[in-house]
Amino acid sequence: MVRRRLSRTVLAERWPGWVVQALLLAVVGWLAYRGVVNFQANLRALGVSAGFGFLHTQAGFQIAQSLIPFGPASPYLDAVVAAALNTLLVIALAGVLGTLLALVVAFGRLSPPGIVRAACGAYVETFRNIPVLLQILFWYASAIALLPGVADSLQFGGALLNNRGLFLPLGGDRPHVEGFDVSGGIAILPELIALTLGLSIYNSAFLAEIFRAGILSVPRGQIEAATSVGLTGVRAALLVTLPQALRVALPAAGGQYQILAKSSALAAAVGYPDIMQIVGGTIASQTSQALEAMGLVVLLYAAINLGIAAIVAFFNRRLLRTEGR
Amino acid sequence: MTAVFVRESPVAPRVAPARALAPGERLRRWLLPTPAIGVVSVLLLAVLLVTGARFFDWAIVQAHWRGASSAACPGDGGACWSFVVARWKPWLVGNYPSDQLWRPLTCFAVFVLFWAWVVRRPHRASLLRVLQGFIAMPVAFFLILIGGGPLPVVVPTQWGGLLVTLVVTLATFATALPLGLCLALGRRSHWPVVRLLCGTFVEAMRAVPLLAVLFIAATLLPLFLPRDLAIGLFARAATAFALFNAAMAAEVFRGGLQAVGRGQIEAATTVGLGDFAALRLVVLPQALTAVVPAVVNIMIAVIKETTLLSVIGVSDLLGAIEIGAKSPDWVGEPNILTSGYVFLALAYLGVCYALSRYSRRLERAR
Repeated sequence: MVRRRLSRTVLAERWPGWVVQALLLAVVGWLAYRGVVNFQANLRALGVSAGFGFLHTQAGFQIAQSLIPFGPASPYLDAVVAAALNTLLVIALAGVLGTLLALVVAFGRLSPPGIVRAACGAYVETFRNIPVLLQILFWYASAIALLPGVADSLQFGGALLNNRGLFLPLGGDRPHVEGFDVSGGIAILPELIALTLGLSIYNSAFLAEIFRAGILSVPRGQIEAATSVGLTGVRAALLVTLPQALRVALPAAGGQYQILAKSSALAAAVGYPDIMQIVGGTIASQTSQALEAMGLVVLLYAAINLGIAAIVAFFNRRLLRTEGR
Repeated sequence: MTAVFVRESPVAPRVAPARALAPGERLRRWLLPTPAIGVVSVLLLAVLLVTGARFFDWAIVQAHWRGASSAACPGDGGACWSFVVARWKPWLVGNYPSDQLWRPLTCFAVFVLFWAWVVRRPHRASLLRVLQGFIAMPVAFFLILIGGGPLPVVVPTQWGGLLVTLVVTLATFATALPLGLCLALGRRSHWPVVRLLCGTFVEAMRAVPLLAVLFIAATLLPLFLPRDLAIGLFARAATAFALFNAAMAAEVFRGGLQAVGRGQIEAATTVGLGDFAALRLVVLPQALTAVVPAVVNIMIAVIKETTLLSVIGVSDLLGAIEIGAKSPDWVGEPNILTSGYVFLALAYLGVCYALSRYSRRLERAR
């Protein structure tokens, strides 16, 4: 648009827009001001302090699974870090497993008409249309119900499997039953198993369709040309189809990974100690500082989403550089 | 002179050629297209048959169909459909008073009839009529269900089950779709303030999980309201749900608006249409018809997302199942809860699959 000097004619025809925008800003500003005033009044009435000072006070609770050392005497900040690491762990596990499943199912749907194609089609339709929360709860209920109690733990290798989780030996530290609990080794919570299974299967159904669309977007002539120079089968798929298919599939797959990251918040429904459960649940209720806690939750998830978007954009740029167009 | 031959009678019709494939050949091609796929097919078939047989055994052969408490489903050998059948009222309407059941049942009936009318696509089911129906229905349902005046009041905390799912879904359509359209138009506005506000809202909602938005509505929002204005959990949750999905719809509509070429707007200006008239008469009809399948996909996502309401304490279908499995009558075997989940999964699968087929039909018909 050509920039015009602020002449009288420009002012005459544009002032309604500026008035409306000023009014809009005034309304939003007034609402924000009333919100802050109410918030401060309510906090005073409840006797709750404000600010992030609580992060350095003792947490006073235990986290069932923590990748960093954490105990009841650790500060809340450590709890936030442990929760964030747990979230990243479940996103990574579910992402990898989901992508592998999706690749298998996508190629299955592209095979000649037969049982494999029909079964993969049924897989996609079934797991896309059942809510993800229901799938996660189903796996959780099955895991809890089917696994034996601590006293009757299944033993194989040095590992123990019971309804408290899967306990793997760590170096010389073999897990063993002590009273009602298991000590030693690394614990893989049933909540983590249920969350990973539910998230990966649900997202694999969507990712399979995205990958299939990507593969179908590669013109048939490419494969025919590859065959004519002697490239067939898996080599042709890797060298000719896959790079061009990724160009179409990567942005959509990146969006699906972001959906995966946001769905990991459903850990709060099964009690897996992730950001939603620890920061949005335990910390918010224990300190009564809901604003700071939910603010942290929003910031952390926004940061994770931005991280995934940045990683996908990086690979996208590299792909566009070599594939051109 | 060359000889010319003319037939005097028609040629007898020839028998159709024999089918290219022998009868067994078609089955062989379907089962074993290539050796590699053939091996996988046979293995897959074996796994599916075994799993299918076990599921059939669990769901039909050893299942319990009658009974009114967990005593009817001892052990964990079979599905507990008695749980599903005996608690039909909580599934459908939650704690709605039994003598006022005609109100939610009327709402269900109206919804089913409206949807049947839309799907058959008679001549009068234009897009505008459908949209008007989707906006009028939740308003009417709210008035009937809440009551007041001649009808006894039934507060939303007593609603539950399918009623809550239906009301929240319809309320979301009615508010999120128009609001999403406004947000999408706002993001394309010439006014920087409007563009900034709409863009910030949409991007903020897209960066955050829906569960976090619901948690904020449940725990944080009351702190920002004046002390004497208390909005119930149901209203807050439904509002947060609608705002979140409005942001999702805004992105879909933005795509549709971008799909309308610049030439359309330029041509509209040429014939003398102002901004708003061009929008109403030229841009919107094209944009809206372009995004109808994507909007149906949003509807499917909304239906699935209503399950999240059970996490913050608003009892929808999933919440009704969980409450039921913990009630004194039914607490006990884990089989009972699993049967409830399987029933719910089949129900959602049916509804969402039907909607996705409808969406594909719309896409093909365009």
